[in-house]
Amino acid sequence: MSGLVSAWNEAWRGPNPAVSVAFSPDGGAVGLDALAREQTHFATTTMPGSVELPASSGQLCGQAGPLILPAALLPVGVAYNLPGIRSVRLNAAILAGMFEKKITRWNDPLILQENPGTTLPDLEVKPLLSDKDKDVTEAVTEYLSQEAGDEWAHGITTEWPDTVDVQDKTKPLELDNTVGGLAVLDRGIIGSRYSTASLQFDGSYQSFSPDSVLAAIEAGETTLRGPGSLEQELDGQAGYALAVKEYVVFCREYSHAQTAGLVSSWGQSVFSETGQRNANIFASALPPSRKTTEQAKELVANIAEGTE
Amino acid sequence: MSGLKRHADNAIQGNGTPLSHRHMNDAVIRDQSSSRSGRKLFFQLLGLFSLVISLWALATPLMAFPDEPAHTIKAAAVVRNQITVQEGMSFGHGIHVKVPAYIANLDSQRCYKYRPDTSAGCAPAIPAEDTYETIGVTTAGTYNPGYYWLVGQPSLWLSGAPAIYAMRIISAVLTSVFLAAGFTALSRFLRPQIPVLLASVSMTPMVLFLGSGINPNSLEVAATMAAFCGFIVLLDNAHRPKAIMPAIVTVAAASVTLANTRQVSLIWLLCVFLVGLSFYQRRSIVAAFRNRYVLVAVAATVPGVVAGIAWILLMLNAPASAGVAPLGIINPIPGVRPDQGFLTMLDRFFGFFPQYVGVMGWLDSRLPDEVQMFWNFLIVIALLLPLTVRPLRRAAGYWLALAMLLIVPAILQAQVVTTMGFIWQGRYNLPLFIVVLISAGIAAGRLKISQSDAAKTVGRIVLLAAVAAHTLAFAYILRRYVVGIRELANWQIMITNPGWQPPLGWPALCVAYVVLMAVAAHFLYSFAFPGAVLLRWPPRFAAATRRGAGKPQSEPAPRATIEAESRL
Repeated sequence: MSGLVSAWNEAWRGPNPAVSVAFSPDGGAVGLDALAREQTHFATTTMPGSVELPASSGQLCGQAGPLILPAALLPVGVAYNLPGIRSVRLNAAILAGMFEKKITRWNDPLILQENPGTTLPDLEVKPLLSDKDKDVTEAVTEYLSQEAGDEWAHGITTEWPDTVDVQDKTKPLELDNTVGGLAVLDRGIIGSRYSTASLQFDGSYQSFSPDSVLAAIEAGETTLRGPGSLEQELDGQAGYALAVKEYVVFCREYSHAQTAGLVSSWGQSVFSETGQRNANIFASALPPSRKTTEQAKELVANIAEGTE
Repeated sequence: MSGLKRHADNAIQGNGTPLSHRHMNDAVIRDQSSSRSGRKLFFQLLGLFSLVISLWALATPLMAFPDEPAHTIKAAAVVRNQITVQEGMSFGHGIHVKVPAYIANLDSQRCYKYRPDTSAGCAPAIPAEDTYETIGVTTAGTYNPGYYWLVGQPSLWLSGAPAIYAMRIISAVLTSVFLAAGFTALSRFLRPQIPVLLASVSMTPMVLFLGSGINPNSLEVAATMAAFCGFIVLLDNAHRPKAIMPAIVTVAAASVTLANTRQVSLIWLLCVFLVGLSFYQRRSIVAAFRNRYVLVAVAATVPGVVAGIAWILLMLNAPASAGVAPLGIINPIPGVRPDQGFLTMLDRFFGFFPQYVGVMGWLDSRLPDEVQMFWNFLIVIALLLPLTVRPLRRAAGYWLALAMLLIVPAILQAQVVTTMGFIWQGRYNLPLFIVVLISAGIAAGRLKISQSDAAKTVGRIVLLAAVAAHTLAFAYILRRYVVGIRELANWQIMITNPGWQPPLGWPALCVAYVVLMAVAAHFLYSFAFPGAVLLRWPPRFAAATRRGAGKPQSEPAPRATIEAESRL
């Protein structure tokens, strides 16, 4: 998240050289807790609905409540190392089986069935999974929960279940050196370095590409989950729909007019064209849909002085 | 500064032999006289250091000093009674506090940080009207509040840039108090000339620059110097209890200050005492610690030191941070072992020396080669001088100090290399660096400075070169902030198109600086060569002066070669 905030910050500081943002990447729960304790002016999170604040935190943003807005989407791909093979299709059930070592060979009949015409090697499947990036783990387990049916019984988690082998956090990823390896990575790491699998969404296979993810975003619905809480859905029929959703959380009111003005200014910069372009260039993130962006801008513009 | 000269004259005559009753009376009279001259000397030095360091405070743009925003925020928080760390205030990037917005937002001044080619003119104004309280972040949240309580006071009655300049100047005066006390104490050493001269060498541009910002690092450096000088003089004059009262007070005040500055300061204090003790035999040490003034001072110091330790323990048990420090604050290197960190630090031992001389700003503004060369020349002489001492054990304290400068930072860095990476900077070593140079002076203290004409000429050349080097360092750093350091020389643009101007303007600061340096050099020269003057007026002015004062010129024209004489 640091990269995203830095990218937005650059967009904000351009026309406002006398401002600064201090951001600590301590995780969404810590950020929301700090917001509730009035120890920060905004927070970032990937799953705002799932965070339970400590009892001592008090009500988030007082009576006026918070604004919870999807501000960026970071595509997540399934990267693999199979020399000479550029396109593999995997559905959620197969993926879950590979992670849990129920499917152990790349030429398993279930995989071959999804890849007619492709010759897959008789190589061991070597999942290279890490708990280092909890947001990615969360997004992938959410995808498996929604699409894999009974094949994934662990729900949405930020850490891989015990049935999955996890790599040592401190070691760098070894996908380059592991033939048969399989890893879930965000777009920033994948770049053009790794081959990625096409995944199945609602019965349709979608390839991993920024354009495909943008199509899923643009076709996805913008829903209002409550006053000031927007949700950006991804349409798997229209495009690749596996991404980490990054939300920014503001208060609707701040106790000081200057603070409210600064937060509103910063929020508008996040959703500005420059802010979103910076997020794409520096953090490989994609913007929410036009509709979501417009609604978010409107909500952020109304941040005002109040009781917080 | 004239007190320095007079006292030196007295001290040089001391020989350390047992005193008769008459001698005792003489000693009492001398002590009373030297006490007055010592007080005068202290205030003269305090004035000089305060002015010099304050010029650096004005010449350095606000927040162009290592970690200054974090320490400024801490100071503003402490004077607003936010002293300890409360639950829910500690995060990966630091402690959250509530301070005036113009202070909380000081990070906005960073546009020229790590960019030596960029003028400080890019930084926005610090708005004095932004006095509403908001969230500020400081990485110094767990530091002892003592220094910050003093330095933060102006933020209660001033706002904007004036408040921060005032905070800097309070810090500069605090630093100056200990530097002046250290020099004053050292002037009472039985053979003070070489130690005082090498202590003057240790006052590098970096030490003076460091005193100018809001950061307890400067106080730590000065207090270590004062504690060491006071302790050495205390041991050296154990038979003259009243005469060493200022030294005793200096040691006590500096020790309490060090214990209440930073955690690592306690280690410097321990080093100071070990080095000091290494210079003397057991008999002298026992005599010093039988002195009732010393015992009273120890009794007064212990509670202060205990308070400092108690604070450290309190902060070790403070509410835990909600996250780990992000990259930038720490830079761990996976796979590096502590022993590799230790050896790497030994390997970098001489690499830190340019930082002792001057790498200003956020370690982004290294002084030019000519300044570095001049100080390296002096430092090498200082480091080699103790090799002339026989027997070598007379210089045991110096060798211990040198070993500590090599090993102590390596140990401290090695123990955090796995979690934080290589975080050590040369300025952290400055307390020990100064102790090493003064130790070299003490070890070589029995060498007598030749009073020959040739020696005076050499002394004159070196001191004038020191004035030039100090002034060039000051002007160069002003250039760095006024127009930026480019590949092509751009001194002239400082006049034609300055991108930034310090308060009073850079020409006025430069003139004031060169005058102060010349004054310091003049008195140092008089101290090394009693009765001689650094520079004489041109003949026609001198004649007019003689007519006015009715005094003949005493110093013959310099000639001949340098002479060194050892009484060992």
